[in-house]
Amino acid sequence: MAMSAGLQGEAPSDGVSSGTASLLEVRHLSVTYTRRLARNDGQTRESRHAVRDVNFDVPRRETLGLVGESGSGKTSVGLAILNLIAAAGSVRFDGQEILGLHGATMRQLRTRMQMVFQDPTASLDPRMTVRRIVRMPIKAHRIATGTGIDDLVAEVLNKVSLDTAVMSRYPHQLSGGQRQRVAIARALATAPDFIVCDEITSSLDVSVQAQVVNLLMDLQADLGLTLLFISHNLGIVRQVSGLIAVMYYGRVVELGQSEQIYANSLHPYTKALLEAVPSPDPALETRPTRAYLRADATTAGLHKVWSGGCVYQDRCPFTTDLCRRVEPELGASAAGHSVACHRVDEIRTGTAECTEGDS
Amino acid sequence: MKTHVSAIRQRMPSLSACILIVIGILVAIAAIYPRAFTSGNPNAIDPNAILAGPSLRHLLGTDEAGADIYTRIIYGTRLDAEISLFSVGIAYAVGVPLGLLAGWWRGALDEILSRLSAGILAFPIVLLALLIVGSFGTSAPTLIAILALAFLPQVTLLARAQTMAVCARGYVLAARATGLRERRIITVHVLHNITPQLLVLSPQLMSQAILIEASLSYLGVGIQPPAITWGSLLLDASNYYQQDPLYAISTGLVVTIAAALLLVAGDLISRWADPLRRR
Amino acid sequence: MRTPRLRTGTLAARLARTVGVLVVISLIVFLALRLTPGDPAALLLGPQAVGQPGYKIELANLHRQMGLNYPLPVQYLIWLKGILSGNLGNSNQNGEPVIRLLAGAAPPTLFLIGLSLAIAIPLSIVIGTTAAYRPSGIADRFVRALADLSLATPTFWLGLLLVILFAVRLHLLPATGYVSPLVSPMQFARSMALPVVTVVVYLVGVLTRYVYAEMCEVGAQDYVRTARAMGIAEPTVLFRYALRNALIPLIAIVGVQFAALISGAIVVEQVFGLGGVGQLMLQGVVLKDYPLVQGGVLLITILVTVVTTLADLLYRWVDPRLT
Ligand SMILES: Nc1ncnc2c1ncn2[C@@H]1O[C@H](COP(=O)(O)OP(=O)(O)OP(=O)(O)O)[C@@H](O)[C@H]1O
Ligand SMILES: [Mg+2]
Repeated sequence: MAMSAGLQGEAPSDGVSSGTASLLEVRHLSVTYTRRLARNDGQTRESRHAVRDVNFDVPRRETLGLVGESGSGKTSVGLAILNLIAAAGSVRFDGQEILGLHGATMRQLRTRMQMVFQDPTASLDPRMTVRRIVRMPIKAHRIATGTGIDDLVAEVLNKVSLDTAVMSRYPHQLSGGQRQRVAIARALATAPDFIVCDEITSSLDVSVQAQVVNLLMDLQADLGLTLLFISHNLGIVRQVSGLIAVMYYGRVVELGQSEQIYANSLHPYTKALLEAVPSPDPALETRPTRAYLRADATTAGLHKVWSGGCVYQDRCPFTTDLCRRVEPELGASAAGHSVACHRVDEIRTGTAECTEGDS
Repeated sequence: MKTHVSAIRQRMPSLSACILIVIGILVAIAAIYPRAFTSGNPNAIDPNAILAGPSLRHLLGTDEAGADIYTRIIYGTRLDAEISLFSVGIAYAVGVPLGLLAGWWRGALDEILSRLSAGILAFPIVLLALLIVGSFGTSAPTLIAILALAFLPQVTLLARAQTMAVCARGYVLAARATGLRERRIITVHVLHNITPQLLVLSPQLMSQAILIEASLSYLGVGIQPPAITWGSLLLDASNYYQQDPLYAISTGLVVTIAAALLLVAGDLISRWADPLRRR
Repeated sequence: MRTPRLRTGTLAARLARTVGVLVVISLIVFLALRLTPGDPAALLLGPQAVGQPGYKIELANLHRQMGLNYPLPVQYLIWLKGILSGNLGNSNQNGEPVIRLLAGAAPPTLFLIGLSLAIAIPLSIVIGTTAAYRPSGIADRFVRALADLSLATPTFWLGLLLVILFAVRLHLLPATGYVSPLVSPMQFARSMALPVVTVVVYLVGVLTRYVYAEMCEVGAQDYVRTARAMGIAEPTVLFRYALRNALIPLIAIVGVQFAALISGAIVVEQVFGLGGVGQLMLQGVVLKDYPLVQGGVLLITILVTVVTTLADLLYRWVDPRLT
């Protein structure tokens, strides 16, 4: 994959502007994949948006939970923010534009922003010991030298509650939870401010999930980390994040404070997602359930090429002609809560009529 | 600690690997210091024993000039070893970097290298040899160059395919995310992970080198006398197969056994490389 | 899910690629021609002409005549133009067109290749399938060891062994010589028997490995498992269900192996004195008949490329997953 194409890196902003409220500002972020259709065939290409015009901020020392079903573009957002894939739009980290940066400037910045990947088995080199894996970023950025390197390795492993005995092991000799801890330790090795955590629990056992999530929350509190926490599990996101962005088919359809989203979700897709989660709160369990998903809904919509209108139109029970023609923008519906839906007012008041059945 | 032991045991060579290593060492000695195996002179002729059968004096008999066949086989080891080692070595020295770069950067370099490789692969090796020998004559360096040229596309394409497979793995992206330089990623992650797969091919190519050397010698476009190779002995033997079939059989067996042992070595290496790849 | 548009796109891409390969081949042959040490014109005039009166002028005239005074790229284009109009040049020995010489020598070589493929393909399918019938059984190990052995055996030596056994010892078959089927079908069969067996042993060694690997893979797939679970007899499962899918890659393998097959055939025809293309080319090398060698190599390599491309297209056409 190429680095973000074309653009020359902007001059680094003079001085760190710690005054800004948000550590990360994402504006009009779009990611387009060009897929080769036939194997070994350079001719036939198809390009499609994986992420389209996404906007959000992540305030310092806070966690933004990014939720959405498989294929909605969450990982692509994370990779684009770290300038690991070509993307359009703007990503400002601590006031500095990231997209288009490359070379030494970008590498330097990578000490401050790290990522823990979706699949720890894949993201750890099978031919390296844990010690070597964690040493890689330390040596690359000359964070420590000599015996200091091993001390630092031990220190970060300690932070993620791993015994230093695992240092000489290979990834395949570790359990899933241990592997994920190693991945987190590697991300922590450069003492970053910001970490993208991409579905760090999805490959884990339920019992281990809780351990890893607790570990992450402790680390955030201790180290003052800012997190982008990607997950499709709303239950876990709620535990971790103060802010939530809901993605569907490359778009953010609802964005707000976590309490607001849980208590008062507005977008039909968010409601459908929440209904799928067994709520830990018995008070909410009694609330009347209602179908927010059309009976004939499939995920087929995710794979076709977007051709205008609301991204959720094929699965939404409230779709109207307007929804098919005009794409709704993400608009503020309350303080710190925005929704991209034409019929948000009707849904809020419960007067939205089902349009299921008409075609 | 237990995992340590099992890891070590995993890396320990098996019995068949040990046997192969011993044979490899013996062949190396024969190539470097043939006197260790025979006191005879490969060019000493015995006019009283022409195309004589095996005897205590001549373990495998004598050739048409009365020279000891066993001694000649031992002395032929050096050139065969040199030819196979150098041709494969050159193919690797050139092909691995090319394949790595093509697989890593893709683009125009990749297109050109793919076309070039396919073009070379389309030449039946014997014809490629005829073409080059026709222009440059026969000599050991020419033969090595021919073989290296024939092996180059195989090595390049394998390195390219393996690089592309490794680049699609998460750890390469992860290394980039941690801020490693591309050069470091290529040497530390990519090269390290494609090495086992690359190693598997090398004994196979060496066995091919020995077989092709024999074929080209047989066609009369290999290395010329007085230099001794197994192929030149086979050519010699094939001229006298009516009078002395044992000469042809023994020299052919030497080539077959050498090629087969190399294939077995390839199998062992692939078995050694496999479990790690699956993880 | 194959749309015609996509198919033609693929086809066009494959053909464009093949043209690229052909250009590479022509470049290699051309460079081998031009990088040859020594001046072709001087070679033509012979060493005895050196120093004679008017030698320099004659040489220069010949250079102009042969187009050697042009820069290398121009020479290449002129040469390419000749090739494209079907002119591979004339033999040094008797001035005959190279293409006619090749056509005259082709029958034994083509018979050898064709007959060997016709026998080796079905044979390797049977052997490979039988070995896959019970992986890691005795038959399996035996077959794989034999396949390895055939890959390690020099083909010409195997031919020699067969000659020693069947011609020298048993006097069953002729040792050398080729008889055209038009002259005597019986003699033709006798003359081709040993060469074909030699090439078949080599080919079976190559192809069985692929059939075997493919059958083991296909055999582990769900629909084959289902057929097994339904109680269908194992041979039926293998030959009816699994084989169809294992056949497809074989097409591609034959395409990929075609160059090696020609190499093998050239050597084997030499062992049995069949007097085919290989012998012609070898003569060319010995007699320093460069136009013959280069024209022949070029033509055969183009043939290989065409066969490989056809096999590849056929493979893609049969297997929809690849388009
Ligand atoms: N390298 C790629 N090439 C082409 N398309 C891609 C690539 N990576 C992702 N996509 C496509 O982009 C879309 C978004 O993918 P992405 O991985 O960002 O989704 P995700 O929300 O992380 O899904 P998951 O929960 O399964 O991880 C998907 O439709 C996917 O098929
Ligand atoms: Mg993802």
